[in-house]
Amino acid sequence: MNEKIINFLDKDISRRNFLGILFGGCISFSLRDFFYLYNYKNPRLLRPPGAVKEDKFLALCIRCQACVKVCPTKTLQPTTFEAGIFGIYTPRLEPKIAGCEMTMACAKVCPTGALKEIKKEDMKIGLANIDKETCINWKEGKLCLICVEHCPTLALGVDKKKRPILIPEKCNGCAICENVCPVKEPSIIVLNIGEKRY
Amino acid sequence: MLTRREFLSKLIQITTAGILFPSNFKNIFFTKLEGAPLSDLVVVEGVNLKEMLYKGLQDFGGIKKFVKKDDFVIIHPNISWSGTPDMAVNTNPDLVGELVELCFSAGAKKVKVIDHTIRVPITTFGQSGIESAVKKAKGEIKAINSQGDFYKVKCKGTKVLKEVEIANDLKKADVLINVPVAKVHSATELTMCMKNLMGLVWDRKYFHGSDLNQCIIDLNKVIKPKLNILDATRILLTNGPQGSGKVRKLNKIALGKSTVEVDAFGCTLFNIKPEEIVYLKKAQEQKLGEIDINKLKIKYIKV
Repeated sequence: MNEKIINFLDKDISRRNFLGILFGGCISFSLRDFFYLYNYKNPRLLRPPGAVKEDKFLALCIRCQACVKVCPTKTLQPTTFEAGIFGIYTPRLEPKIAGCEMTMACAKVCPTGALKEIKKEDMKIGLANIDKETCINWKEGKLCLICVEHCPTLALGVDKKKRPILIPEKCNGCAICENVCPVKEPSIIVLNIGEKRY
Repeated sequence: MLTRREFLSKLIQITTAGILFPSNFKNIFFTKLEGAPLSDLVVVEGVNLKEMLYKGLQDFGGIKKFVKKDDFVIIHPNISWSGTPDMAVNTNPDLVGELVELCFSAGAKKVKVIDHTIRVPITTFGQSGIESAVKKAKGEIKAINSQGDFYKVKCKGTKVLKEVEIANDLKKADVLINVPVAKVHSATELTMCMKNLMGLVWDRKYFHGSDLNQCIIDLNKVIKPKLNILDATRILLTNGPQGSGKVRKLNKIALGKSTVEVDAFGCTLFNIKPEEIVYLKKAQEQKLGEIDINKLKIKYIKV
């Protein structure tokens, strides 16, 4: 082995070096999301209804923000790094702001066909998941059921003890339930599992 | 002509009766003079909504008892969901329209229809038909969907709700008329007058996150509508409050001054006892109103 390397390994690490490595490590770790060129696997990336397959979508979308502007609930927001560097400024759903109310206004204005006009009933952009550990209905036995009240496809039902249960076949991933959940870190979140792409 | 002797003896009779039985005395002599309502609730059945409203209000002394000249009237129907009138998820548009017209006829200066909608207003206002009905009657309609439309009030005598943000318009309004539709509800079993007031509140997540039933009661202590008109022209029996579910036509409206009492009657439309609804039972315990149907004076009218 090179003499220099042997010398380096033999020496104890200096405080300056140790702190430098620690600091650099922290920064690069926190920035790890930004270094993806594509981020196909992000389960929280909800595309608007009628979106074509991801690689085709990234090619077709010209980032004109027409869909973002026209969305009546303002749930469509441009991505930063959620879809990778090549996906910057493409539309996605932001459940913190609102859910999708299936007005299908986005597909009507899309100039390039990255969003296809589909029927309301065919929409499938994700699947809701109830976290029974944090849901106040399941954990504390409180009467909330706000997600059941708001679900537009009646995919959320109530069991005998008045707790919300999901009927996966009916869920279309509109993310309204996540938007209305009163828990700080929503107990019901929507992931893009089983999304339909065209 | 009365003689002096007769007059004096009658006077003594009446005053002694008044002293001995003050409540009876008041009932016999002053009810009609004061124009106080003869009944707590009026239930009207029929098809012609205009006539139904008119006949129903007559028992309370007409619309002029509630709406004075140059008043600013707020009407709060349920326009929260996207659904056509026959789905029974929103208030009957014709009823809201007729009510706006009636308020103008009583001399109201301004009539505003407001609701904090759950779905986006472009779909709910259009599909429910309420927007066109209100505009036809020359009223104003507004969705109060941003935080700027609300102001904070401190609550007194409440249990859970200490502070609540309610609609700005209530500050300036002279009259609030609550016009809910009767529906089943996934969380609270039924939703009628009491629950409908949540449409005037900004942070409804807090209600669900803390104690929904008690919060509804507390809200009813803060906001008190002068008149409640329960729309049971058709009621939703399943999948409420969102729809779409089973709908039954009843062609009824119920009018009353107390949200609790109107709701107690509303329960009978679903064949449910008022005591089975948690927030109604608690409301009675906290002395917000009577929920025993047999103790309420209900007048039934057919038009």
